[in-house]
Amino acid sequence: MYGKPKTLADLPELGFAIIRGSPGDAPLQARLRELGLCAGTDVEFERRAPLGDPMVVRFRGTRLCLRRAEAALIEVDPADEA
Amino acid sequence: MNPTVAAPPRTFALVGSPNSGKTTLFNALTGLRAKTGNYPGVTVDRREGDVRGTGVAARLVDLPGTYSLQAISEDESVAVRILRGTMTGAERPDAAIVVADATTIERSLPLVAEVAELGLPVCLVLTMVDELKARGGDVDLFTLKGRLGIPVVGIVGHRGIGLDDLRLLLDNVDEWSSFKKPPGPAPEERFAWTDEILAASKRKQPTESPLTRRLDAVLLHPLLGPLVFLAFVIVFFQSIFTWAAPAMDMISDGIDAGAAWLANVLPSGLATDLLTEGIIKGVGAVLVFVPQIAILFAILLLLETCGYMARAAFVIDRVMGWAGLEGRCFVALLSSYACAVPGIMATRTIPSDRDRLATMLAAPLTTCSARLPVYALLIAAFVPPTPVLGPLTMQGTTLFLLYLLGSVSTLIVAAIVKRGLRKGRSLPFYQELPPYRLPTLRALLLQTWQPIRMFLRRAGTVILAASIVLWALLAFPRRDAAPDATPTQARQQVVEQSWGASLGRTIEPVFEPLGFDWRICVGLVGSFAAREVMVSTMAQVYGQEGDDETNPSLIEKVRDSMSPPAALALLVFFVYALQCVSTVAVLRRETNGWRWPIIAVAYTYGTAWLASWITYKIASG
Repeated sequence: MYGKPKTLADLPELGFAIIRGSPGDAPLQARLRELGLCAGTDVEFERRAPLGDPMVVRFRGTRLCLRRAEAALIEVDPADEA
Repeated sequence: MNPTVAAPPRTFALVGSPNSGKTTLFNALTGLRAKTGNYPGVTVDRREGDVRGTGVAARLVDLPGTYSLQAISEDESVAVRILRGTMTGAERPDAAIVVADATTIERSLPLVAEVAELGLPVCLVLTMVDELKARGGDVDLFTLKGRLGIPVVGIVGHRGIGLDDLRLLLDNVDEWSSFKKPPGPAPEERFAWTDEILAASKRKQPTESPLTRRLDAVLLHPLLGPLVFLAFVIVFFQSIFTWAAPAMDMISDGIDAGAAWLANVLPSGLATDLLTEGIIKGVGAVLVFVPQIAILFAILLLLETCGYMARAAFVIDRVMGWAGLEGRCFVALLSSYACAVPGIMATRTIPSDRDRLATMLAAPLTTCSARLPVYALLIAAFVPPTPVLGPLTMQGTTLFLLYLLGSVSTLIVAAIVKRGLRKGRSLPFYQELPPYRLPTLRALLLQTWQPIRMFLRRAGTVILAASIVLWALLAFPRRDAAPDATPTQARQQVVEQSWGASLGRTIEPVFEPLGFDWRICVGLVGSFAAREVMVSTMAQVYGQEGDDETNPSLIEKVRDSMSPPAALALLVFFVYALQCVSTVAVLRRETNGWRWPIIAVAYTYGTAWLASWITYKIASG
């Protein structure tokens, strides 16, 4: 289907997505999961910062700023497939 | 009110994520004023306060904001260790109060489960329930309580709504019901559990506030956002001059009048001279800047509590990323604009040692408020108030440029340190965008008062001591003046032949290439204690000169006795040099040794000398 799995960094193009998970056990990934960016969460793209990075995403009633580098650690499924 | 037997108060730990309204609740319950902010990570220090109005003595411990108990920063680990009772020097609290913003409980309930698993009695306080209702959201507290098993209270912290219920709850901690079925440890399980409980509690998510949506449409706009950011910064610097001027004139006139009156009524002599010239004028020269510092902090605090700082960080984050820093470094550096001491302390929220060290070493270059008196004096003396654009004058522009120079240098130093240290992994930057919320005027004024009080305390201790020492250096050894000299000329002769003058002349060769004469050198020696001492030294050195009849102001005296290139070089020197014993002390404490503070002093003075020399050469043509 895809050459590479989609990540949250692709959210600006996707608009909506459902988190599949973040492979890896780094403290940073654990933290992102604890914030609610864990498997099954719906995420919506809001906007990019004026200089292109970071972006604002919405999930669980929260608006969070996230850099592309961190967003790329989280794998997602496009929302229309689920 | 007080219990008949003086039992030790029961302690309650306040746990909650940044922006949860935890600090506002702490303030409302204790009447103690701690800093509140919309900005993640503001609460660094552990603070305690006794709850007012409870039947049984209760004490609150305000823990650093944390999203989870899997701590990744030192700041969070402090919170966790206190809750576990493994923190040295802190007793384990008797119970925990988890504070959560009612508008975002979807994200905060997992923390309740985590805290409950530690085995302490727990209750949940939902803040901002008024905002939840106003934005069309809802949650059934009764069902929520039933499902969680623990007591739940809804409050509006800044209005005091629900606080009586909470006080009653604190009185009866022994009867708190215990947490029901805990979810599994994985975040997925905790969030599934959250969703289940919230669905049962008829949770309705609030819609976004129209105000926040409209403001963000402008403030985060690709083009307007940065423009507004820039406009904020410019208005900020100009207002420090424009709005503070009347109050500053009043204080300055008052101090001069007071000193003159004292000099008249007291017998003339050394003691009077110490009092009027050393103490009153020395400390007074610094006190004049209280209005500017008040305005600086009032604006910073207002922007922080209303939620704009988080937007500013979002807009500017890319620039921070270029320096290899992350969002929390920005918070620490931003605090350093007020004072490097709290800024360096705020680096405890940074998880990586390397980022933390880079931020700590760069923080002394941010333009702290202690530089403001020096900048203001030199700018007022040498830069004409020519209009540039709208309300912006040359003076405001110069101040802005000095802040810009400090900021750019801060980033460069941070980038160099970050790259110079062994390569480290990049750290997560995540930050909530809270809804815009206006602080109450009372809270804002009380918060602004804290740094002013700190400034006044510095004026009364470090600056007072340095002023007295400098006065003594400039007043001794006593010499008989020429018989025909006026009192002013006599004083001038004493100053010129004083120990201070010899000290200044001894180090003059080092600073001569920068255009600094021995008078400025005396000031530089004194300002190692604190930057403001430069101004009080100038007041003492230059105050002794000039004509008795015309009695020119300090600004005029400085203008007459310094060349413009030297003044410019001096401004640049103050941009870089780490002249502050408090900063050195906090660096030593936070890095656990003398190595980094010595490096910081060495590199800042080295850079200061070099940059001033270049400035002086260019300005002299």
